[in-house]
Amino acid sequence: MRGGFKLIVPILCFLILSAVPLLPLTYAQIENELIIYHYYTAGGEREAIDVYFKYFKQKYPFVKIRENEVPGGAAENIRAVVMSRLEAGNPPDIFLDLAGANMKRYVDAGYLAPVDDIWKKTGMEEHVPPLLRKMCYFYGHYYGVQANNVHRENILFYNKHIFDELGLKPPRNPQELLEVAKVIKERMPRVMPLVVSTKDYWHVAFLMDPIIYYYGGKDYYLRFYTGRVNLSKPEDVKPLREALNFVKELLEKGYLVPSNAWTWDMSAAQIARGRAAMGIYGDWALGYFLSIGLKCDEDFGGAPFPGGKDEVYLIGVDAFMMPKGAPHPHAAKAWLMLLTDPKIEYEFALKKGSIAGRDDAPRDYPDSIRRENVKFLLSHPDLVIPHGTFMLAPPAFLEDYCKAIINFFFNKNVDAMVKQVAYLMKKHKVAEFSTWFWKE
Amino acid sequence: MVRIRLGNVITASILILAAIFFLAPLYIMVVTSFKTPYEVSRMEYLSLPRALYLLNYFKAFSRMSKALLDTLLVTSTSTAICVLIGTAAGYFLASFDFKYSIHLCFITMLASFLPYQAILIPLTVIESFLRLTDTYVGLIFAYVMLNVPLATLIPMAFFLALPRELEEAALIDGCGPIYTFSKVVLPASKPALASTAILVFTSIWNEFLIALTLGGTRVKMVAPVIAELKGCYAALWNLQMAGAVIGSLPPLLFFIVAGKYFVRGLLAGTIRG
Amino acid sequence: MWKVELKYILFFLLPAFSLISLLYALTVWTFLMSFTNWSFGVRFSNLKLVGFANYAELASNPRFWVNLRNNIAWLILFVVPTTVLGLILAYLLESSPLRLERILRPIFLYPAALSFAVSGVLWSWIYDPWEGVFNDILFKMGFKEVIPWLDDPKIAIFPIITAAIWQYCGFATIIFLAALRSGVLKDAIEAAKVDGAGSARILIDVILPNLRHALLVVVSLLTIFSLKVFDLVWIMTRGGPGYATEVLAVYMYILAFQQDLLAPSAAVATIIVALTSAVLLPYTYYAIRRWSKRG
Repeated sequence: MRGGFKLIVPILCFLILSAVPLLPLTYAQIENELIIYHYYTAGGEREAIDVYFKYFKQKYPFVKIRENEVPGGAAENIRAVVMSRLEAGNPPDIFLDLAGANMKRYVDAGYLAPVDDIWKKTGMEEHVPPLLRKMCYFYGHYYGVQANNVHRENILFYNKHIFDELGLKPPRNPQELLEVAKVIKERMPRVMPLVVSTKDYWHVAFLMDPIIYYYGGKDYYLRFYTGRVNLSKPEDVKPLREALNFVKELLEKGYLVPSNAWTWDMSAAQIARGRAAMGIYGDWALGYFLSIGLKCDEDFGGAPFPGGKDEVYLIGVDAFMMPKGAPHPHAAKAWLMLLTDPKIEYEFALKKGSIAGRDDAPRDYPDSIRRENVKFLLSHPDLVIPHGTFMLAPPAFLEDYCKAIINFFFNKNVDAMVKQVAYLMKKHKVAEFSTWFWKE
Repeated sequence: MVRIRLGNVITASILILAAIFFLAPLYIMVVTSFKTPYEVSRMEYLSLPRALYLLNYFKAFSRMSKALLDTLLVTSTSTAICVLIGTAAGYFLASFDFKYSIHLCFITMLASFLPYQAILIPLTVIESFLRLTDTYVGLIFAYVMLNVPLATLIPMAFFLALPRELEEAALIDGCGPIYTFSKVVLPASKPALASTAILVFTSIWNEFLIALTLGGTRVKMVAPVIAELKGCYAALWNLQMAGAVIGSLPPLLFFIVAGKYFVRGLLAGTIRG
Repeated sequence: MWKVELKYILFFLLPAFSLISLLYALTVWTFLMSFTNWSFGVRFSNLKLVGFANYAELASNPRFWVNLRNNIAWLILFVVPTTVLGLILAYLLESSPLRLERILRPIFLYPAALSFAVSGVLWSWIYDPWEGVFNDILFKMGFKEVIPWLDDPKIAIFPIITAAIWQYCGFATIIFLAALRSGVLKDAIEAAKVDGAGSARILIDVILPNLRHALLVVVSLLTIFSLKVFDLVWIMTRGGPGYATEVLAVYMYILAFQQDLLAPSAAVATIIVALTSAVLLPYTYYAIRRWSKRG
């Protein structure tokens, strides 16, 4: 039938074309593979994870690494991708996500496999500070292994040239921040004293958390982000109100400049270029500054905020996790074991801008920021606290909470904000979710 | 002889102003894509680059090369399938004595306007279940499903307007509808096929949300990559513009070369009666 | 013309319509899901019906109302200017010499061939507060203030809508142009000219009434677009600052893919479909009737 010929050819083409991409799927069943999902794509991160890949390839040359990078900070995009795979019963071998509250979601859904043996055999249990360990410990078992960027999430980065010219020192608490900002605004009116990006909405939490910590203290901070404060009681609401009023003051005096045109790295770029003076980031921003060719302590600097006598170490932990039913469990476990080696950890941290979490890892870092971090980590293990918004509160809360903060930037209505926070805590059931943190 | 009248002058001026509004962004985009970072920082948007700084294109292209290939594969295949099955369905609705044709037509029209948010999540779930996320087949399936209504309506409109003599002659000669369709009608419908193909191709190539959700790492589509370029090369506008130019080339080329088919397709899909 | 037999249905209709049916089936799935407690980690065995709880939750959430307000803002600020501009341009094109029109038509229409990603990135740059063309021009004209286009919740919507108008104007122009060119209209204009009517009269009494159909098409399509817009908003502002420029489609995406709240996301999707149907159903019905009347 010649008439049908015209249709058969394209149909055949389609069948052939569609079969070709399907072929690799069958290869995936081969044992010697590691299917890994991660989001270390930006400057600094990429080099860091290549360190792990290098060592893995050295030790296990016959295992093919099938790498899936999902760009996007704060692990947003990767969640959707991994979630759909897990729900469909098609888990990868290893995936990366934040530990703490994020990891708990996977554990609760029953998707993660416990790895107690890895933690115990490699000495992780002894050498990792207790609150850090807790981020991977749920219902009596360890899940996943920290990628061992024990990020410090409360570093105030500043443009050193501006500070030197004005004879300033990095502020260590809100009052000093106000003074420093005042000087900058008066003497260099075209420079934005403090910037924060709202396009990456989670960045505003980096501003709020240290401030809430300062006004509330450690106990309040932990209770706040696990939903255990009663915002109708005056003593519970006071630190929040003080924090909000402080931010309000920053905004009204023009010291804080939020911008929706920036993602976090664009706001950091403003500091690098001298258009802005300060910004609060995690130490991963260090990797960014280094990757654009700036020198620490010359072009830029970083100091903990709050610092001085109120100094605290707010940690953010990424962890590689192994799902139940991973197609290549041996390769997955081998990867996790690799992560626990203190020397490799150290090399990874060097590139990434973070520090190694194990206390028996090598300690010299090329920049003052990290040297200080290590010192503090080792000397004040009790002040090493999970970064509330990301590690303690459920992720759904994070989104609404940050959006509420951004709204607050504009309407500056403290009462409305307090009400909104109470509402969100209830809506996202923060208290029930966080019981894991208070158990032993 | 064109007489210069005031009306004409005013008309022409307004039109030219409008043309500038429409062309300016494209001009800026292209011009910036050839500039060095220093030139960009000088913020002289309208000035031409001093030289054609091609490094932007090299860098952008190397980041986008996989996306370009993947998108080409997915888009071409989807378009081919869509045009095939859509034209067939359109012919049926136009030329068969089927008492439910009008109803099917209504259903198809409704489907062509359906916001795809309605199916995004179930689609993601099903594809995930069938292991089709981040695969070529998965994306092709999604795009064919979404574009088939339009691919049915445009040929249908065309066939309705086609003079019956052709088909009647074939009928007299004893040919069946399938033969008539493939050997008689289709060759005479090249404009309709072209219009449908161009519209479907453009809409798939430019599509963002499905590409974002169902694509990923094994299959990268061009639209999310262009948006991503903005993130990776933060504030490196020259690179981003180069990437945007590269990503726009196929649909723009189609548009320039076969513009009238583009227009006919648009009109047929919306207004023809 | 042809007689219907089963084999013809299978050959011609089945492929396309099985997919179209699937399209509808998935929409119904979304609709049904919006009445459950579906979210990450809830397996199908644990799925529970929660009635209208998700909708009630949305109604009590101010964010939802902001989204709705924004979609309505799109209706007014986008549909009206695009329609008016398209009409003006079509009229001007029609009354200008052929050569000019041949050059100008593709110029007005080409943005429709671009991806929203491209126009989103492009217009984000144009409106960038510190490095963008727009503020630069304003600055050179004497404005001292840096207008924070994409930062200020009150005005952030304008850059996005400008980009949308830029992209869709040509589309409206083409449709109006085709309508202006229709034989029926031309005859009516000739008749009016013979009767001695001036241009303005012709415009008001003859042309505009006959554009009713084209107007309906354009307004309906643009309205549907306003209700489902996602790409431009997502790329230019992510719905920010906060959720000031967020629209329903963006919130739907965030609920599903960033907060793992799949059932509320389905509820928002259903609302989008419901709102679009309010426009779609009458329009489609009208178009079909018109179509079948013409034979």
